[in-house]
Amino acid sequence: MAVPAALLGGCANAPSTLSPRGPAAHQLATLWWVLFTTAAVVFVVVMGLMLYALFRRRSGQHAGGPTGIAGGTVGSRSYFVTVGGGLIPALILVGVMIYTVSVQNALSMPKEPALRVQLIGHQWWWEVRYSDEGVVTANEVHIPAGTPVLFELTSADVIHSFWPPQLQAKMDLLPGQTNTTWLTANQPGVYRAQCAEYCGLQHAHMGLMIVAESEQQYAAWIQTQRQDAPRPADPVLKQGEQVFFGSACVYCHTIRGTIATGKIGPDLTHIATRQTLGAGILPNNIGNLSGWIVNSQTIKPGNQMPPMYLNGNDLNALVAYLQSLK
Amino acid sequence: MTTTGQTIPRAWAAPTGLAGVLTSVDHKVIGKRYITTSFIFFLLGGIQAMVMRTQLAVPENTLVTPEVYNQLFTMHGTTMIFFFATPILFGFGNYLLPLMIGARDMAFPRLNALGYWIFLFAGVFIYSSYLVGMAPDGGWFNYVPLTTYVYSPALNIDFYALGLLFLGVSTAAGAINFIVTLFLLRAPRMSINRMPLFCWTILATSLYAKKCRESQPSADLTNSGALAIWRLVQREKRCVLLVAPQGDFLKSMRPSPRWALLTRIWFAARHGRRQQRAKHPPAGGSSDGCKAVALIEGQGFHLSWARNERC
Repeated sequence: MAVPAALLGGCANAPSTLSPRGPAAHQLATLWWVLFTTAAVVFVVVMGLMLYALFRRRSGQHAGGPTGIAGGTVGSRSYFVTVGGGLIPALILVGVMIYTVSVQNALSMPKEPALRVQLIGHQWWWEVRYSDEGVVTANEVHIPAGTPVLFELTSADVIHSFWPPQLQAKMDLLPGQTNTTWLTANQPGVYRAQCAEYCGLQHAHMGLMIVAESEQQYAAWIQTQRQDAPRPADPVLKQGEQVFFGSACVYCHTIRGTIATGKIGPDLTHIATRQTLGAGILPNNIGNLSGWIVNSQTIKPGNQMPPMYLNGNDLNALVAYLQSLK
Repeated sequence: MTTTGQTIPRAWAAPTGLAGVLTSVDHKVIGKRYITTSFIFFLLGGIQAMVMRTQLAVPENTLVTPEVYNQLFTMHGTTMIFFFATPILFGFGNYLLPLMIGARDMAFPRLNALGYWIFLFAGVFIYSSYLVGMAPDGGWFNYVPLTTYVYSPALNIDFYALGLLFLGVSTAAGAINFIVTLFLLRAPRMSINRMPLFCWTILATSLYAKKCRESQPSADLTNSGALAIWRLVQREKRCVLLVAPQGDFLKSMRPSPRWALLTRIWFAARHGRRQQRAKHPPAGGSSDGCKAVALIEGQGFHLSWARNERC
């Protein structure tokens, strides 16, 4: 069992439901293996019976005449068919159904959550709010490892779906409705989630990083996120800030503590603390951020950010400023 | 001089030539046409699937752009469900149903032909969207709000809506035809409970399909129209996929190697019931045809058209 599980375990960037990292996902993975094993056994038995039926020799008395069911007169061997073909499948299916329903039940009931996070789906990024803490960020969720976290999900435009394969099942984000799901990450680590409902051109590039960390690290992170953006001291950073305010950036983005209060795009107050850009598709570094700003359409064509053609000086300053927003 | 013996064959004879081909209302011809056309759509859908698979072979592949990929998977799904699975079932139904129940043809032969031609033109119309690069791209399930005007302002969804509208007319025509034929044109003394299993599935599918089509809007492409199309699609999924007449096909045919035990238990139960009700002793006729009928009748499958062999 270990070898196929390892093969199906997936890589770090392509998480698999069969390498669960939380109790909900563990139950799901177990259910999967139970169903798979049951189906495999039934398959082998049925194929074996078929091969037997195909290749056995008929005894002479049955040759040349109309035969009833299973080689005998009607009713004589229906016991085998009734039990083997009716009773046993019924029992298997009822048993599997009871188990499945119990797993579904366990998955849907939020344990007493320590934390509530709101996810609002946009085309094609995730708005993350910790309403109890007054924190707004995007495309990255930090949670303390080992504690159940409640997610409240809704959408600002079309139907999306929140799917962290290693932690929970899928839950849709529906406009005009709030769905809830929960998850617990057993160990600290970074778990990638993915949008799982076709939502348009860049549905494939709508990822979310769930970072599970220790209580202290989480507390420190929340503390940082609560604060307004740090004011730049360095002249280059100041220049960058001016570029930000002077360009179209402020129409869409918010940097708390400044005049930028745009609501259309992700909150950039602490963008430098994020691991990825563009909703989980690029590592967050100077090069990628520059490329994204200049022409994100070449990276994620169809997304709602227009190209921003800045000269090299301004671009460098802007990127330096943004990377200082820790 | 026309004698009585020539009147009926002359009335039923198909016109010849190109006009004859195009205006044929014979259920066997229409059935074969449905099957052939569905299969061509199946191949088109398969080609789209192959392109999709090639695109997905490696991560971040650049074989097709996101726009084209979205059109591919939408059209693949639409084709397989609406232009292959449903019409080919109607094709088999058209061909086999009158034979199975001892009818001369379907109840409405011209409506039958109309249904086929509308199906063909609906398929051609929806595939013509590829020629303008505006194939439907909202998923074959066409969820709102993604496919509303706000998020899909281009012509793609319009092609989808109109194509399915036409196809819906075809399906409704076919469904009505099946229902009326099965209720009114069965051979004498074939009560409805003696109908072959396949006919039952056609009847059930047709009643369900007719119910689906009742809420189909007439060319209303606003938000509510998109919603109604979506509801239709959801019901269609249940019609085709859950009613699953294809499985009953297998049950009706029952080859002699005794495999598929899980299907056979179903048949065993029906066989027992039929034996009680039908009270047909296996016929003792001498010809091979009669022996075949006896064999099949003994298995519980009624073939009233084969009974013309005078067994």
